[in-house]
Amino acid sequence: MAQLSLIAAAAIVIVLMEVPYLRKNSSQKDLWVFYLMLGIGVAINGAQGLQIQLPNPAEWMEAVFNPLSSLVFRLLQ
Amino acid sequence: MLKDVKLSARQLMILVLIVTIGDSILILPSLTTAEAKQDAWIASIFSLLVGVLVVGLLHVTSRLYPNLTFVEFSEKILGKWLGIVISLLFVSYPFFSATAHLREIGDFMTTQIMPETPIESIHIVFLLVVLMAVRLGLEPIARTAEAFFPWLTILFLFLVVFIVPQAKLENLQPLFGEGTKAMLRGSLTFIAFPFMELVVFLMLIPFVNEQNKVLHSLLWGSVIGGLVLILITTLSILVLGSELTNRTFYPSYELAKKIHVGDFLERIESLLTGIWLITIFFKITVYFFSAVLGLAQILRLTSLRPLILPLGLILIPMSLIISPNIVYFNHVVAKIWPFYDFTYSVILPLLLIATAYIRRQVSQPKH
Repeated sequence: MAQLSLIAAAAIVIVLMEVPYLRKNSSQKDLWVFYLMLGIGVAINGAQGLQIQLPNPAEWMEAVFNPLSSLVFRLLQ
Repeated sequence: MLKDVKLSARQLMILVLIVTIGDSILILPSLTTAEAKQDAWIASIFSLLVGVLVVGLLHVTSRLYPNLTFVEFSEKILGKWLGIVISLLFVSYPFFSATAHLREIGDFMTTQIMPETPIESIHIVFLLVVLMAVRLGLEPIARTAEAFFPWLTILFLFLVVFIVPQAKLENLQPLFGEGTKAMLRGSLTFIAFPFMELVVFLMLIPFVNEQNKVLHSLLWGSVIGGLVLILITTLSILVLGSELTNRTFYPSYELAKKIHVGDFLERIESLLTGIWLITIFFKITVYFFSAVLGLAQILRLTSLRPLILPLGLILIPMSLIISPNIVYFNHVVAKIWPFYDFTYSVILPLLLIATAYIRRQVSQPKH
């Protein structure tokens, strides 16, 4: 629970820091992108805080490059 | 966006130098020594030669459109949609790399210096400084690099001068004892981490105001950085021996621990830790900046501000997810990551150069 409230606090601080500036100086689209990215960030952090297993990009990398890697390491053995 | 930002050739050189050293100074000696044993220093010299070729390739790529970043010219060369796909892949690369580098700092601090501190808090504090730098922009980052450069040099010279007396030449024997294949295996990581990872500079080169000096800066930056890494790898083997270099995960920190000057100057390793804290800070900053800039250009935003803090918020949990345990992470770093770097820094630029060449050949007869 403490973690979730920390994430909420972080999100509020980010909104307070950026939204006034973005409203004044940027386009509507920038603001939408900001909220979208912030939403993704809060979602990932929340999932992490609730100990939900998230996909690991290192595993995707391993899936893509493992054939090449084992081939090269076998050739150089 | 960022039209008025200008880097000098000297600033580019210092940034390239610091990013070349980056996290490599901390983890590379151990990775290369794991494969090449006491011949790692030969593998590192060979890697520098190959690394120069890679840097040359990156320079050729940047000359396709000297005033455009990678994201902009890949859309020009490959057309809108394919260009966007490639650009998104390219932007994910510095983002994931920054994640991994942040994790390396977290692992280093929690295993060596602050074992009681939760790793998240180290990541958050370190990333806050990075976010601050990226919010300030490219010019302040470059000027900070310039300001830190003398300190970096002093700390590094201090480390080298006071550790050299403990070098034992017999640690290098037997010369060529492991054979060529072991050396090639060892040089895979040594080519990839310092030199191939410079590919992110394709996002920054357009901001240099003296475009004719770009090659000069890239080459000198990467060669001096490479020499620093060769020196630290060789010293690790000379002082610690190949066995210990390979088994301790942070040989350069181990070197710093061994420094005793007389009987009064001891335990200065946390001071010398400043070397890699500074270089990794700049590496993460440059990477994160490139990711933010690239994504902003893909989305056609008017500024970088909307992306910086939210992406930072995403980076924190990613840095925890990317390494479920240190054994798996080391396996990915040693065996998989060099090929990930290779795809982005060799295959992708070659693909772009070839496509641009064919397009020019095809479109010439019409005009």
